[in-house]
Amino acid sequence: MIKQIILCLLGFSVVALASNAAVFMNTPWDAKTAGMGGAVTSVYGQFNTPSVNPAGIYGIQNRYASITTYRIIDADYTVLSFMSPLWFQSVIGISTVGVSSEGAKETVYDRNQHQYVQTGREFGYQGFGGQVSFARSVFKRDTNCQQGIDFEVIGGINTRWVTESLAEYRSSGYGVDTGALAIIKHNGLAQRG
Amino acid sequence: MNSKYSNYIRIIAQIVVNMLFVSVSTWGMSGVWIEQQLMDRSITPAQIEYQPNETIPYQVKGHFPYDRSSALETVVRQFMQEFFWQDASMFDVVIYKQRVDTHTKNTIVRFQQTMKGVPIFGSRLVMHITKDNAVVFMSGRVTSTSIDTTPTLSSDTAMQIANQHLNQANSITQSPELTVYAYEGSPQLTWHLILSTTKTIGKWHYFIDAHSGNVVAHYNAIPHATKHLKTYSAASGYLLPGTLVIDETIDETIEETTNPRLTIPHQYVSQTYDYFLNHFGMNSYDNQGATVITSIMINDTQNYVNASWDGDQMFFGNGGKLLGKDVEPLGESLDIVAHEYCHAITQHSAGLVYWKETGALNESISDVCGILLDPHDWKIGEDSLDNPPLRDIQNPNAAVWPQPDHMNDYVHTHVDTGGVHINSGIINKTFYLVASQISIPNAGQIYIRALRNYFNSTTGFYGARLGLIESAIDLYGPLSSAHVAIREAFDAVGITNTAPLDFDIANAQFLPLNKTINTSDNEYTHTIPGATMIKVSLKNLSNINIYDGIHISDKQDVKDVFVNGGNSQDTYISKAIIGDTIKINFITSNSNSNFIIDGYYYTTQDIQTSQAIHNNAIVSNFLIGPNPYRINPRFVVSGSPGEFDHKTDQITFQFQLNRPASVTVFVYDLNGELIYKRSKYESPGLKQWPWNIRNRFGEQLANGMYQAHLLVEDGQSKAVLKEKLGILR
Repeated sequence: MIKQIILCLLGFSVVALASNAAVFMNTPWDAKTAGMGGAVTSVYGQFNTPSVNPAGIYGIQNRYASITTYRIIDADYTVLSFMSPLWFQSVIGISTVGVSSEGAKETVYDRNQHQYVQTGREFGYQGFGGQVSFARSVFKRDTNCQQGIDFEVIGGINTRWVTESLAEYRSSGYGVDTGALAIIKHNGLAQRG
Repeated sequence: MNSKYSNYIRIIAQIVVNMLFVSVSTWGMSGVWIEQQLMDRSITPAQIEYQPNETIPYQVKGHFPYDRSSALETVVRQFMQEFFWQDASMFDVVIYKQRVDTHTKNTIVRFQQTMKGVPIFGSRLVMHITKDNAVVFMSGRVTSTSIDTTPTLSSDTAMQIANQHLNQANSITQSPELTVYAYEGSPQLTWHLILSTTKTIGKWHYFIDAHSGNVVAHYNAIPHATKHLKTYSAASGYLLPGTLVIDETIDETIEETTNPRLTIPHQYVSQTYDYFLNHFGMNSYDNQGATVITSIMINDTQNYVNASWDGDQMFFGNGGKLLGKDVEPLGESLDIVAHEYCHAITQHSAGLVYWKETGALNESISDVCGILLDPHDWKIGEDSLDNPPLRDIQNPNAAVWPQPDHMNDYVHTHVDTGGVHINSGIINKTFYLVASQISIPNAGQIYIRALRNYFNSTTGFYGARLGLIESAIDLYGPLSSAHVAIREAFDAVGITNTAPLDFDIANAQFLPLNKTINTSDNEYTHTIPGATMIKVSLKNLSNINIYDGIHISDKQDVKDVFVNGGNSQDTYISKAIIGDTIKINFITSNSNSNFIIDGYYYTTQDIQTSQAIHNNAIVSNFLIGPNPYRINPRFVVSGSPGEFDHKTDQITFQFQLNRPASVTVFVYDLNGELIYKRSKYESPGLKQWPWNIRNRFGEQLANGMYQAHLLVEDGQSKAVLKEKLGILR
C-alpha cells in the first residue's frame, strides 16, 4: 500500500512538471513567427513555421541551416535550425531554441512595514528546447498542368522536448503536436488553407 | 473480477483517498480557509494577523464593501457570517457601542458575539466601517466552536457555589447571567455572577460551569486607581525618595505640606500627567498606571542645579549658581518637569539608549515635551534661568550652553555621555522648524507618536527622520504639509541619507535658451524633460536691485531657491523634477527691467539616486510582490517566524505615486502577448494594486516569467517602469 501511495504522488508530480513546460511549447521558435504573432499557420515551403504548423516545412527545395537571435520583452532567444527535403516527398527539420530572461527582483512581504520589499536577490528564467519536425505529402491529385484543380494534403508532426528553470525550480516536458495543410492549385495558382 | 482490473481500481481508489487526505489536511485548518476568503474578497491586499497559537484570524485589514443601504448591524453580521461562521442560526452579533472617528470618518463599532443569544465572554470585537459601508478593519477573538447552550445547573446553585468559594458573608450578588466562557481554552457554558463585597472593596466576577458546577474563572474587577502621584521632600539627591509630603490619587490628595517649594512641582507633575493622559491617552508614563514618584530638594544650604529621571523616579534640585547666574529651583519650571517626565515615557516606550545620537534624541524628545507643556516660547527652563535659558530650540546656539543646530556642527565627544545635551540641539531645531509650519500641538503629536510607535533603543538622527516621516504620514497622509515639514526640517539641519548633492557642472549638459525676460512678466515657466537637477544661468542682471530676488521653484518638492539680485552673470541651482515645470518668479521693485535666462545646465545621470533623494519622480519604487509568486507559503523577511507571506492566488503591484496621475499596468508574457491590463486615476501615496494572476479572459496564468509595465501620466510628464514577475505553482 505504501508503494502505491508513493507511486500516486509521483504520478501527480510528473503531471505537474509537464504542465509547467506547456507554456514554453507555445514559444515561437523563430523571429519571423514571433514577429507575425504566430500567423504562419498556413504558410508552407518555409523553414520557420514548424513551431506553429509542422506541415509548413513541406515544400522546401534545398537544405537550410540557420542561426537566429531575437529579443522580445527583455527575453533573448537563440534558435538553431536545420531543414532538409527527403526523397519520398517529405521534409525533416531539427531545431533548438534557448531563451533567457534575467534580472527579476525577488520581493517578500514585510509585515512591519505592511508592504513588499526587495530582498536584494535577483532571479532569472532560462528555457531550452529541442524539436524534430517531419512533414510529408499524404494525398495528392495532380492534373499534370491540364485544365482542372490540383489538390494536395500535407501532414506534419513535431516531437519536442523542453526544459525550463525559474528561480530555484526546474521542470521538463515532452510534447507532440501535429498539423496539416491543404494546397489547392487552379490554373497554376495555389490556394492554401 | 479480473485481478488486473481490481488492482487498477484499488490504485484509483487510493488516489481518491490521497486527494481526500490532502484536502482534509489543507482545509482542516479553518484559519487558512478564512484567510483565503478574506484575501479573495478584499479589493485591497488584505492584512491578516493571528494571536500566538491561534488559527482564527485576530485582526483583519482590507476593504470589504457591502450594500451601502444596509444598517451597520447588518454589515457587521454579514461580514462575520461571510468569513467566520457559516451557521447563522448559531452565532450572532450585538452592537453595544459605536462612534465616528473624527480623523478617518469611519464608524468604530464595538460588538458582542453571541451563541444562540447567549453572550460569549471573551469575544467582544471592534470593527471599522466606512461611510460607504465597507469594512476596513476588524479585531478581536472570534469564537467559531459551537456548544449546547442549555444549562443543567440552576442559577441558584451557581450562586451558592460562588458565595461559598468567595467565603464572604456580606457579599451582594447580582443576577446570574448565562454566558459562554471563551476567554481562554475551549468554550464552556457558564453562569456569570458578580459578587460585590463590602467588608473589603471588591467586585468579583465568577464563571460557574452550568453543567458541573465547577468554578471556571473568577477575578476582582475593582479598577485600581490609575493616577497616583507621590511627591517627597528630599534633603539631597543621595537619599531618595525622602519624606512623603503629597500623595495624590484620583479619589483624593493627601497633602502634608503647604510649602510652595513642594506643592508647585507636584502641581506641575500632575499637570504633565494629565496632559499626556488627555492628549495621548497615556495611563501614566508607562501607560500601565505606574505611580509617579517625585523628590524635591529643599535643602537651601546646598547648590544643586540639576533635575533627573533615574529610571524609577524624578528628582529636582533646588537651584543655585550656574556660570555666575542664579538658578531658581528646577521643579518650579513646568517645562523642566515635563522634560523629566518624558524621559520616563522614553524609557518605557522606545527605550532610547542614553549615548551619543540616541541619547541626544532622547534629550531632544524631552525638550519637545517641555515645549508641549509650556508652548509660550521656544525656551526650556526659562522660569529657572533666563537670558540665556537652559535651552532654546529656536536658536540652540543662544542657550546657556550653546548647542549646534546643524549636522555640520555636530560635536563628536565622549563627555556628556557622547554629547547628549549638546547635539540634541540639532533635533530640537527640527521640532522648531516643524512646529513653526504646522503648530506645536500637531508637531507634538507627530514626535510623541514616533517615539512610541517607531523609535527603538538605537534610533539615531536619521532613524528619527524616518520614524517621524512615518508618524506624520500616519496622522496627516503622504505629502501632507506635515510630511513635507518633517522632510524639510531634517533637510535643513543636514540629516539626510546621503551627502549633499553637488552639481557637477563639468558633466552637465547645457541647453541654450537665451530668453529675455522682463520683470513685469512676474514669472516665467519652462519644462525640461529628463532633467534631475538644473542650474539656471542668468545674464544682464545689472538692472536688478540688490534687494530684488529671483525665486526659482519646482512644483513638487517645494524647494525654493531665493537669491538676491546681482550685477553680473550668476547661476542658481534648483533641485528639479524630472520633466516638470520650473517656475521663475521675479520679486523686484523695478517693474520694467530686463535680464536674460542664458540657458539651463542639466543632468540626467543617476536618475535612480536622484529619485530616492528628492522623491521628485512622478512614480517610484515599483515592484511586484511576492516575486517570484509561489503557491506554497514563504517566510517573510521580518516578523515572527512562521508568519506567511501569502496563501492565495494574488500578487500585488506596489508603487509610490508622488502626484495624482493616471496609472496603467500592463502584463506581457515572454512572447510579447498582452496578458492583463488595468487603469485607474490615482491619488498620491503608496499604492498596492492586487491582481488575481488571471488573464483578460479569467484564465489562470501558467508558470513562467512575465513582465509588467507601469505607465504613469499626469498631463505634464510620463514615466514607464518595468519589472519582471516569476510565477511558480
